Amino acid sequence: MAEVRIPIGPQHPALKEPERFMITVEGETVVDADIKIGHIHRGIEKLAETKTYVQNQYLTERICGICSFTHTTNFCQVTEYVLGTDPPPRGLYLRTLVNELERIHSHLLWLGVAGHEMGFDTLFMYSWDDREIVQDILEHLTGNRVNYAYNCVGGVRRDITDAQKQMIIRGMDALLERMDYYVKVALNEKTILKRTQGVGILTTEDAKRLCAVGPRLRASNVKVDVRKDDPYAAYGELPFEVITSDTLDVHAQVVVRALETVESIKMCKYMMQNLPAGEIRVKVPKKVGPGEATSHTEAPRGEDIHHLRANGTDKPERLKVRAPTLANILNVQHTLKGANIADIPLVVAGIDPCMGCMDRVLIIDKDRETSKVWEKEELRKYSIEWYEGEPHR
Amino acid sequence: MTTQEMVQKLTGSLGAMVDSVESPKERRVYINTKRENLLGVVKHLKEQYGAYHISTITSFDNGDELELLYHVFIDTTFMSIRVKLPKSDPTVNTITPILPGAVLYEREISELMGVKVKGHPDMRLLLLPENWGNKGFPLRKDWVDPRRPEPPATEGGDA
Amino acid sequence: MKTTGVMIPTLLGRISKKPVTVLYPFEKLEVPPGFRGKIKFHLDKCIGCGMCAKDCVSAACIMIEKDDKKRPIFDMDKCTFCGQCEESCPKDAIEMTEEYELAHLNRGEVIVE
Repeated sequence: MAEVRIPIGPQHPALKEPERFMITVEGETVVDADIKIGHIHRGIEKLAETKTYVQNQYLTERICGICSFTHTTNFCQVTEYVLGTDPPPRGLYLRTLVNELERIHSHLLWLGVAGHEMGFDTLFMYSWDDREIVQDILEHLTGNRVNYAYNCVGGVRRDITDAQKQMIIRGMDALLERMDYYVKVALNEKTILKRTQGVGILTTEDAKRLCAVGPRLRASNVKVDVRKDDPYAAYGELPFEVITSDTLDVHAQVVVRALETVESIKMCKYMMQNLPAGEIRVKVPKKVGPGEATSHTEAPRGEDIHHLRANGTDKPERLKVRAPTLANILNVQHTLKGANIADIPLVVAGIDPCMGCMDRVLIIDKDRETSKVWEKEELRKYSIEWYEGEPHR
Repeated sequence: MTTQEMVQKLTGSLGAMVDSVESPKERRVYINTKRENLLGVVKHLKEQYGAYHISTITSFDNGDELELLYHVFIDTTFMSIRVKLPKSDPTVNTITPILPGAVLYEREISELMGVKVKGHPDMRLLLLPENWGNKGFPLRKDWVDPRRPEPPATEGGDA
Repeated sequence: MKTTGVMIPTLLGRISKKPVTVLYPFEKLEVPPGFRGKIKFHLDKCIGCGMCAKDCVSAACIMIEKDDKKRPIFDMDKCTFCGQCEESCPKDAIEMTEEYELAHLNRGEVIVE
């Protein structure tokens, strides 16, 4: 049978964010997949070099809309490493608390999206309803639902009141009950099992070889979690399990994420019962360095890295950001091969892709010169030039 | 194994391939090497220490030289292999055959920082638009946005 | 037991409950205390030091000179509502209110002076 190439994206009903897949199919089976990213570059790395450290706290928050707090944690940590500052324990606990609340809301969001991709919208509706519990807590605690502006170099910006503590404990109890139910649904509901079992299998060897991160790696039965391996903030003092699964498919990812949410809920309760007293932040100088440091954290989607080089002024010399989705793109490309066309959205959704997070480096969205309306002759000329010249350098 | 023991072990086993191994902080190790030894170091880390995960490659523009940091995460230690390249000849060998996960990061540094990666299997543009042409390498310090004739005014700090 | 309809009891249990969403312009959700909304500026407290404008990430807050006095103005359509200016102000002249409805027909109406 002849091979057919299908372009999917950059704008496509099956995708939530712009990226382009070039899928080669034979009948219903995908034989090759090619991914082009970079449609939503915003130039944050370059921009960070022109902003002060105070401003960068809020700029790094805008790298991602869902896992914004993990990026600010990373940025604040990396600056603290260069400065040699240790935030007070209460500040670290509160930072960890928001990190875990963010993981709960991100995983519930993913559960809904995955449900939606497999045509199980009931799950989507209910998991997003339960997500509102976390969102309300975050709004009360930080003052906003998504971009919390809660972190700062040297600690966190707001203290927690007793009423908020009680609200978190009550909310976590309610969520724990709901999560037990979702775990039951994930393990027993036929709609989920039929769409996810045996789909998007990534073996342990391939996951390691292609440097997968986060829940995708743990669903391939590799016990790696930055929170455990390289503890940051208050994670060294918290009891929690690293969840893995040995079924390697999309269903393994559903289970890993559901059980991870349960662990996070327990951690939040533990932190509320064992919150140390004292200050929440220390004052830090505005000028940083010279020096360099690397910080990595476990974002809801996997390992997230910031590397900072400071030159002694109030602006960074270079800030490098690697968001987890870029690391997971390779294994999507690999697992798509051999999948059915109908499974593409689910395999892609499986890694919980966050294109906005990944595409952060450049300024370009469209070249001004090429955005004007072209006459037919100009277009022909352009196409000849494009093929004759060396556009790919 | 503590980080200091790790540093000693690495210094011993890598021998003449590296200039120095240092650890500024617990669980962070910097390996300074030359570009002709890069492949040897990466191969050694893979075979002797079981390194399989490359986290990313950070690139710097230091004026007349480019600097690369290959971040490799082994068990609990975060290692960074430092390589310096002259700007007149920014060529480096690909490490993709040893650590296949590096393929996207090498494409990234090649188009944004202008590092020439020798022997890379796939050098199409990853992040930049296809009609980017010769508009330069955006992460270099002297890069000016072609759509803007003058660079934006900056106050104080970075020159 | 592997079966369909694990969610049916929850589905039926929902019938007697009220909807999760509210009809927005007619019904409004309560804003929690500490919410970061539209900025309120107290000119009498301002000493014109410019700390707010220096720390603003999105250039929503800029310093102008009016009646021989340096003072900031706040462009709410650029504001990211991070609250850094409120924190930077040494005289508490900036306050984040709980007002969140900022849609206007005229761009000038979203500038806080």
